[in-house]
Amino acid sequence: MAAIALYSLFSVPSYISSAALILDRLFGFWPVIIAGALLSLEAVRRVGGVQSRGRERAP
Amino acid sequence: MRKRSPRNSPSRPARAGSAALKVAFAAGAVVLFMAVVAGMFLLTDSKKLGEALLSVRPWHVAALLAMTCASVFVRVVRWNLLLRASGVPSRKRQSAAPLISGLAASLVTPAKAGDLLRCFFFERKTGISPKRTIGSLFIERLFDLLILLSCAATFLLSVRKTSTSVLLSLAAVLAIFLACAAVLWFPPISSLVFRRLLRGKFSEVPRSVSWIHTRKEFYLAFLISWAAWALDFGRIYFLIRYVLGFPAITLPQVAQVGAISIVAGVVSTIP
Repeated sequence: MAAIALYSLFSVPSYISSAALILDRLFGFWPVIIAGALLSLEAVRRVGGVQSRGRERAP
Repeated sequence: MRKRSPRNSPSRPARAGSAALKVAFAAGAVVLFMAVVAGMFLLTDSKKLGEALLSVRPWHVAALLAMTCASVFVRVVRWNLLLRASGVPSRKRQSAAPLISGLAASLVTPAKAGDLLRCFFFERKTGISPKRTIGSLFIERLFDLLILLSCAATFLLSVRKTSTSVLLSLAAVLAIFLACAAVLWFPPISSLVFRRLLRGKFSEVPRSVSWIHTRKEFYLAFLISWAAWALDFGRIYFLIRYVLGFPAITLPQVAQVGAISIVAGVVSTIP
């Protein structure tokens, strides 16, 4: 949508607005997704570790 | 009786499933992204687009990643301020991981619904119920909406040829702006809206929204919201102006386009 708006409202060439959108996704969107996924998986791993330690201690 | 801590909750094993769901969402987002990129190559001058993408230098990447990190950091500070203003004891270190996870989920879910997960991740870390933190999320969305509507209104006011559609759009933008401001600053209206809309499901929301505007952290968070959006729009401006070398673009134009594209899908700012 932003790429189309840039192209139609402010006469930015379509290849420039498309490249801007792709690069913005690559360096603004994907780093957040990857960081969020890693943090979530780390939380799951830690919880798994706590549970397995709990099982080891159980009689 | 000992209070059950979030770490030994019986719902723990189900979380492995939620991780699988997140991986599935991320995989779906990758496929969608690749489809969009392929579509762009098909619809535009693919040679020029390829050259533009290859013109990126390592320092450009470093600057773009720094701007992304700054934007996320500013959002962490804002949420932390809002949590503290609504009486939730929170530190940046505690709120950073839930915010980033929620932000990631919001980017791959329709209407940014995944952002709600932030409150549940926060509960996992601190044991504080989402009922106490969800109000801050609504306030954030209202701040974002006010800022985006301001940018959209400046664009509509700058249109030289005033037509019926421009006037109607301006009227709609102003009406939504005033409604958001009323919800944030007039307690009886916020109470009415949240009770009607949510039917008591999040009973803490109207209470937190009704008094939070009296705290200085609330206004500081509003200013920080502007900084967060300035960083996001600044990143796109930097991309077009300096990375791709198109000097005719200005920062207000990028802000207006960004705001219009988000306000056009107005539900995307509402969790």
